[in-house]
Amino acid sequence: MARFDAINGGEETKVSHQRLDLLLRGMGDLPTLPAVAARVIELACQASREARPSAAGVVNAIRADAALAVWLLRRGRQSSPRSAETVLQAAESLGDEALLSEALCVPVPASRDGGADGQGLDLVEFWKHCIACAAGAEAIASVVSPPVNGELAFTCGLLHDLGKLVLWLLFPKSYSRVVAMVRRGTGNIAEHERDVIGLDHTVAGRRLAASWRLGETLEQVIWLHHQPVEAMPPHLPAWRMTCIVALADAVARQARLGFSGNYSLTPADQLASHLRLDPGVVEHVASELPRRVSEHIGQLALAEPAGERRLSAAILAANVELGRRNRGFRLELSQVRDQAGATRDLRLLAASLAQAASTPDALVGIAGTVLSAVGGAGRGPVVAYSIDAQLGEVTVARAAQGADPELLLLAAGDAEALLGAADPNSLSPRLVARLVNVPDWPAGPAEMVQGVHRPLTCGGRWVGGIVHSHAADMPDAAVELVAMALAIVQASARAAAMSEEMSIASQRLVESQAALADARTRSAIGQMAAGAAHQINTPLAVISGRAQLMRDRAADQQERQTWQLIADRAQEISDTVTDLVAFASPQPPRPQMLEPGRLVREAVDRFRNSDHPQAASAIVDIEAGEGLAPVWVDRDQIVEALAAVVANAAAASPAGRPVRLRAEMDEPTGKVIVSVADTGEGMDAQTLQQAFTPLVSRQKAGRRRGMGLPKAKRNVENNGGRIWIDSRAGQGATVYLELPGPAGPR
Amino acid sequence: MAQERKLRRKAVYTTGEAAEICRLSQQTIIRCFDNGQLKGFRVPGSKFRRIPRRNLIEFMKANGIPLEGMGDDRTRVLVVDDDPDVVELFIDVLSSDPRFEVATAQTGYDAGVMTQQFSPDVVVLDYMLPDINGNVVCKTIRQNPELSHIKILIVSGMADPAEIEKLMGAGADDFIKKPFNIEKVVARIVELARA
Repeated sequence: MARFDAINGGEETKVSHQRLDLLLRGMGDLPTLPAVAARVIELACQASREARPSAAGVVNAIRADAALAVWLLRRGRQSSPRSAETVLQAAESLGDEALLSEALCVPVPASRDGGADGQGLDLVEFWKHCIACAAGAEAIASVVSPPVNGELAFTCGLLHDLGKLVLWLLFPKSYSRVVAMVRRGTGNIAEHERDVIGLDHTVAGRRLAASWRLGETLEQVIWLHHQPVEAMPPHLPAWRMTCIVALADAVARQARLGFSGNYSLTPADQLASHLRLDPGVVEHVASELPRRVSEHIGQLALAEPAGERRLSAAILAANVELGRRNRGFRLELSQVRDQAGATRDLRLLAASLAQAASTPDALVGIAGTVLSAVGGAGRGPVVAYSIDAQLGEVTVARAAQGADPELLLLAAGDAEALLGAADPNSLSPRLVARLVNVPDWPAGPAEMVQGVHRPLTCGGRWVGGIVHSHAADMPDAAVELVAMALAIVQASARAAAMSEEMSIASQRLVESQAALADARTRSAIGQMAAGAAHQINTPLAVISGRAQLMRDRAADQQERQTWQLIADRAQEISDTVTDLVAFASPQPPRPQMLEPGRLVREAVDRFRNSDHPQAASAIVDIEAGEGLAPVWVDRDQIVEALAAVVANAAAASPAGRPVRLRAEMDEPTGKVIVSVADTGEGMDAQTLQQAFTPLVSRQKAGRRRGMGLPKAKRNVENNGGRIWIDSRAGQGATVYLELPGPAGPR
Repeated sequence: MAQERKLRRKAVYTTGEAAEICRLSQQTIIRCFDNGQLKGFRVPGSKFRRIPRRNLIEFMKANGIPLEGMGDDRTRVLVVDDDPDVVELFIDVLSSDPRFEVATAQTGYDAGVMTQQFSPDVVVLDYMLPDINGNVVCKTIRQNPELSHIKILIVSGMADPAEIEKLMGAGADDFIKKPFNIEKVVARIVELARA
């Protein structure tokens, strides 16, 4: 209260609207009467101690107290401005618990009570007047037609003279003068207010209601309840309410219920007729009013003496009760914080699990997190398992204090039993024990399953479970989160498996398609080649055959030779064709394990047995160690290749100079390399480039068809080997053949 | 019939065989052997009688017994090829040789007909024929048990080893590539016929 005086400095000057606004902004809650405050606190204490506290009694009391009604209305409208128009609605939007807590610490009223020392506003009487208007308005609201919200009417009636309380609180000295002037019996309190202070209670009240957003209806009623009815535009939304309150006010004043500061009697009938009310009805209301008012007064213990002492006792009791509630809330808060913390951690876990690469990783994470959540000294390890019936897989992870989480292997029988279990909620204790399989499990087998096994289900599907001595401590929400995360990981594992299978399948498809295309091409070429060979070889057979017959009938040696020549060249053409055909569609190799030394010797034999000009005369040095690793190649093809290379080398080497044939291991790769070295002219760059091109032969002596090296290359490469030449002009040439071993390219 | 033909190729005959060929009783043959009309010898160290071929032929001729395939020990060769020049070539080579009797066919169908009619010992078969491939002819011959004594020599311009293997698998006895050495082919035919 001292604050108000300080703000208001000198009270002699009239107050401007601006100043009023400023002062209103500085106002705290309106204080109630000590007796009422004591009563409300008592009621609140009582209610709070109940097992199921209900704020109904408290609300009932508050509703009839002008100051507290505003206090409650203000708070209710803060949380839900649209739905809290009346005190009851405001109470509902706050909720019982919050209301009781607030009620236990209602604003302690000032010690000033104008009525006690005869100066200023008699608050008790003022309160009575407010209650009378409220009760009257409620009664009238129920009899008008169409009816008006009775509860709202009550509140409007209660608070219509709010402005008076405000002015009294803000300008106590000035208001005392106003009240004194009213007591002298002249005029209207509003006139006096305007004279002394500069504005009247309707303006002050309205400004307060606006500033505290107490509601449009209330604002209008407060502002306009003294206006002559005719002067009020009927389209005003609160027109009827204002009339009702004005009427109630008149009736209350007539019945001299409480102090309103207005002794001039307004004709109630006029107001009644505007509301189309029968005068009899109004009279009835008036007659009921005193009874109602005294009921409310009784409820609020307004008339009881020794308000201050009661208030002190009530405040002490409230203090105790508030302390108790506080402790209770703190406990709840810490529990909720713990749960929130746990849930937050598990949410993080769930988020990270959703990105886990594999089910084992996810399980290890789950086990570790559960261990940190519910694990503790002497509580044993956490076992988390994942079960995927569709893939038929069971994965188990274990986390123990002081050790890294690890994956466990389930015996096949146990995995099957688990997969076959019908109801995850009723796993046999033995199965759970085998799942855990640790000697240091705290409880004995009999006490196990109950509360120790928490199955994880997501969408009705059993995805896994957690086994721990205190698994029951985990909140359901956390368990559900983990189950969901595990289900996500399983789904992504399945998707990965499926996509792998699909990629393998599509690879196979591509390969088989390529093979098919290849085979078709080969068969096409093969067929063409077969046809071509036939078309060329048949006429050649005729030429060769006839030449042979003519040769046999030849007259002399020269003629014989000529015919033989024809036959030979015809054969040569055929061989070329054969070579080309074979080159075009090589046979797939049929590899075997072969000893390199033997291959080399066979190749030399084949060369010796061929009709190559140097077949007999060439000198071939063979160096092939015994312990060489076996090679995996088609025997015939490689022998043919080697023989061709040797033939080439023999042709290139000058007479008397040997061809060096070596077979050795290449240390780094572990493959067998056969090298054939000649001491001939060597190859220049161009020759080297064309060495493997079919039908190009640069040899001067013993010139062959030029298919030797190309054929060798084709054969060697078909078998997965490599062939290359090292040569320099004038320094001979060495042909290298790298042959694959058993682990060679497939 | 195959048995019979084989019978008529033998170099040395038992009395029972000789009796069958001559359509006489074995007793008659033994009597003729014993009285020197039919010349022969005894298996050393036993009583069994043996009659060399030419002695049997001599006997048959002397007694007017129809020779019926006995005298003709030439190898019958059926040449199957659609190229007329090749066929000509074979005819020229084989018919001037007293060891052979030649017939020809130019299609697979004709080959079938001639096989029945001519009853060859060796068939020289080209792979590519206008109507069906040589391997089908081969298979058809082999499927008939009465023709199991016929040797099949495939002569072809084609060089695919896989196909060659297939042909051998289909029942051919040998394969010769065109163009060929005439002497080698003739030698091969003789070898096959003797086997």
